[in-house]
Amino acid sequence: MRAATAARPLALGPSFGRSTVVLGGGLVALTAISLISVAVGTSGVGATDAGAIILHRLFGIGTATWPSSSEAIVWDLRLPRVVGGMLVGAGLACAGTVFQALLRNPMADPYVIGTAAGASLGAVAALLLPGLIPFIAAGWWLGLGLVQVFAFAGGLLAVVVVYAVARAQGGTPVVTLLLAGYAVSSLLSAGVALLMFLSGDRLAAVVSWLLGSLGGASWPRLAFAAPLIVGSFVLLLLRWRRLNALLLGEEQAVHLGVEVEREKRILTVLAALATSAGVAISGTIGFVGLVVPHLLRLAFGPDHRLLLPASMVYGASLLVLADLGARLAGGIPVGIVTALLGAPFFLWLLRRSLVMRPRP
Amino acid sequence: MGNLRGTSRGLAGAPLLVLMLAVSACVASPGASAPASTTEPGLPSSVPSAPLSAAPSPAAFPLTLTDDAGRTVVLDASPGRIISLAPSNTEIVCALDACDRLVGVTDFDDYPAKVVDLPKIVLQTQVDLELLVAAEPDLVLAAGNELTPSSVIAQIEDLGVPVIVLYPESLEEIYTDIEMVAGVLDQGARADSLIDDMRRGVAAVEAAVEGSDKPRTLYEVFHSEGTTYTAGEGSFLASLLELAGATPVTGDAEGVMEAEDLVAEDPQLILLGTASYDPSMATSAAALEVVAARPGWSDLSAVRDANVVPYLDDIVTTRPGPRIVEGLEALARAIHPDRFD
Amino acid sequence: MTDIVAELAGISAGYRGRDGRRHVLDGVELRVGAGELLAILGPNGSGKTTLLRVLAGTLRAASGAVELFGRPIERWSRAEIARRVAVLPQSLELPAGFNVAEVVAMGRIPHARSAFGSGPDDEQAVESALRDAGAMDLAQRSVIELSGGERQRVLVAMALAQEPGLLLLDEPTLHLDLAHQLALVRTLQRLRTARQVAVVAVLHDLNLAAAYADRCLLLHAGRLLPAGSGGDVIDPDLARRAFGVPIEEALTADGRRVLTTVAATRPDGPRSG
Repeated sequence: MRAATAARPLALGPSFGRSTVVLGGGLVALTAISLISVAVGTSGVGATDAGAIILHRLFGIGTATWPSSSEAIVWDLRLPRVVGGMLVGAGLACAGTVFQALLRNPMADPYVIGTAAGASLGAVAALLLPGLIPFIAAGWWLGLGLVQVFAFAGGLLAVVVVYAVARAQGGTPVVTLLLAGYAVSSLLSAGVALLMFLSGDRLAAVVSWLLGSLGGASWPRLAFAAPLIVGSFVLLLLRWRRLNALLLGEEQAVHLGVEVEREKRILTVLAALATSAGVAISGTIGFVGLVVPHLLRLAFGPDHRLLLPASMVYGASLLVLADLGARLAGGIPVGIVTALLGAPFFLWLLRRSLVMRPRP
Repeated sequence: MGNLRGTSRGLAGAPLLVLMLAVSACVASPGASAPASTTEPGLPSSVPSAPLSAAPSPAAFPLTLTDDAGRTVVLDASPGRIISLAPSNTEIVCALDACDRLVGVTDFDDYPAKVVDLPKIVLQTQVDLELLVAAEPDLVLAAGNELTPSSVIAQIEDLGVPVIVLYPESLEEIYTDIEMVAGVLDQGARADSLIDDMRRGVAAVEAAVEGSDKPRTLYEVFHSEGTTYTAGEGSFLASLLELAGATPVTGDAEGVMEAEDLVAEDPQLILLGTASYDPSMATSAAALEVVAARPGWSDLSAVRDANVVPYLDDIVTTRPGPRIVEGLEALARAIHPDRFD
Repeated sequence: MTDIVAELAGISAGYRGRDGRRHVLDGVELRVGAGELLAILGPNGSGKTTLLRVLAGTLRAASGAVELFGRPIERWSRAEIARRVAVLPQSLELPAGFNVAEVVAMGRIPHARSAFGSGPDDEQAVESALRDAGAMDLAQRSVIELSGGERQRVLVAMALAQEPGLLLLDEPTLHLDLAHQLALVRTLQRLRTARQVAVVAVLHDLNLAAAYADRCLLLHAGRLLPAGSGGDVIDPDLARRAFGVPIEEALTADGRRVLTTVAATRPDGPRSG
């Protein structure tokens, strides 16, 4: 009997096979959704042309048998949106996972410590500034417009402020972080509301940015955001053990050798970077960063070794799919689509997990 | 909790952070924003490279102009595939006999009747870039004042299509815009006669209302929750009202007017532009009832004297295009019906 | 007692009261060696948790020297400590979604070598930890379904998975019934021999401590006082002074001395007869 139990290997985490299925399946889904997304659009440029165009631009295969407008549509309009959707979706979901672990709060999302409010204030200010100072919009920084730069900077600055406010002598207690995030976000949101009130004829542009859209995704913007987002991914993926340890509480994490205060800072910075870079591309898209980690945790468990990469892959898929829907529905803001798509599904999954959980 | 090593731990990843930002900076150099990556977009591959024999004065091109947003636009040739992002722009193009050069309009376009059949590029004020590119335009006429968002204008330019922004805020500016577009379309003669007609039309209205009293007139663009949207101070609409023989009751710079200020101004005549879109105000009686129910409005002279007119020509009055003179005439007729038969 | 695992000399730490002028621990001396089970006794607020924190390196002493495995604690990094010292906290909420083996495997975090996988070392350590803690049968169970006693065993296993040289336990018997209390203390006894680990456990049951620990120390007035060894209970006078309640000595049927807190006078006691 003893020999038999010793022979069966213990599951110390998600098995390699299971991880492969989950991540592989996610990648397959992402690829499929991306291909469909590139092949579909309002202009009727179809799959064969789209595929040929991409192969031609990437590898120089084939000669151009399509009108240059089709090439512009696929390469300059659709493909950046798809890649942007992948980056932003993955970034938001990943940041959401990190904040939910860091703050030990399942209601945390990437914006909870001020990123959205800070980025919004920056972006709205940038949208209104050219009205006041006409020359200011003329400059381009790193291929970005004023709005993107201000949004990125605003998001990061807000996080710095929240962290500084929440800092006490012994460290930065998680509850204080949450409360400070709420307070600072409220203050900055009031600023946004005030600017909206004063925005006059720019109100439509402001609202459009706040609702979030991938319509502005362009290669220069992606070139700025991609290194930040992908860099954050890599560094965060390596920290899966520490994220798991944090689930046991900060004191126990310390006993397991984690420098908790330092870790919290690093995690916050990385997640805030990914979030702010994403917001700079697309505005404040909600829902993805809160619900994707939840869905995946319900489905695959809380071990970050699998949860983190899964949130990236499935977050990317969700946003690309939502953007496809947004495009086909007449260019509505993608944040609306993510909520409409995801919320009912999430509710269903929640009910199902409640029903199926064994009662003690 | 004590810190064992006792050393201050600055942001441990600070060098890494700087590296990541540096990588971003290097990758996204300003050069990357140039549209050089696309292969000659904007010029449809179907356009022959030889100059069209029908083009009368090729020496006019390349043409450099400054549009209503202060942007400098350079056109290499007279455009043959034009997309209009505003109904007023469409009307200008068609009034210059160049309707057949339009390849895309908005879903609000309704004049002349044939433009309704053109492909819709702007849906519910959203520009569909894919449809725009697919139409292979060589010129886009955009609307000013962020009605076409400047980010969208930038995106269209990045795709290699020249954009001209039209935003006339007075009659004279409409004439200038017509001339500018005529220069682009090489329809100078047509423009001259069109503008002449328009000037004569304006003069006729001025003559007709000469010497009449100028009632304090409120032109209601929109009303909601105690706030009225009307002609802004010094706005185009205000100037039209003056030309039509009225003393315009104006709101602030954006045309917003609170109920209190309205009562203080006490208009003698109210023109309900909203009646053009609201069937509940179709008749004078119905309109009067609706308006009188609003708090504070029943004391207005216009309401007491039943001078509330459901105004059905809002489109021509507020569309800054070639039919603006019709709009002016409609205004004058509504304000001084006795001066017109 | 062979190698000295931990040594405290002249330790003052922790603050008592709002004015923060007096230290909870005031001149504490302690020495514990490999393979020794040391019980810390004392009333609430006497500084037992503070003492464990100083040993674990999570609280810096205001004065005095702390040495782990012969090296001053200041020269240890947090990760290094975690590889040699394991702490069983008073209570720990285990996150839902994990099974027991996965939670125990978190004890391997300080020893992690590869970026993403766990090596054969880790699997072995987890297995033997589960076995030694008596939690092998729980391995695939979900942690939220565990009873109090089962959870305690899992926590012990997680601590053992760290392969510590020093094991610190803060009131591990607090929420356990008698049977489980006994089982736990016996396990600790077994462990300190089998793994030659130094065990320092804060216990509240004086008799249990005396029966199973190699040595007992009493925290009183900021100092650690010897409180019996080799099965002998502490002096009842000392106990009375430390705990502030009447404590008497009694003899069991087989002649062992135990302490009991039955009051000398019982005005409202149960009616006899």
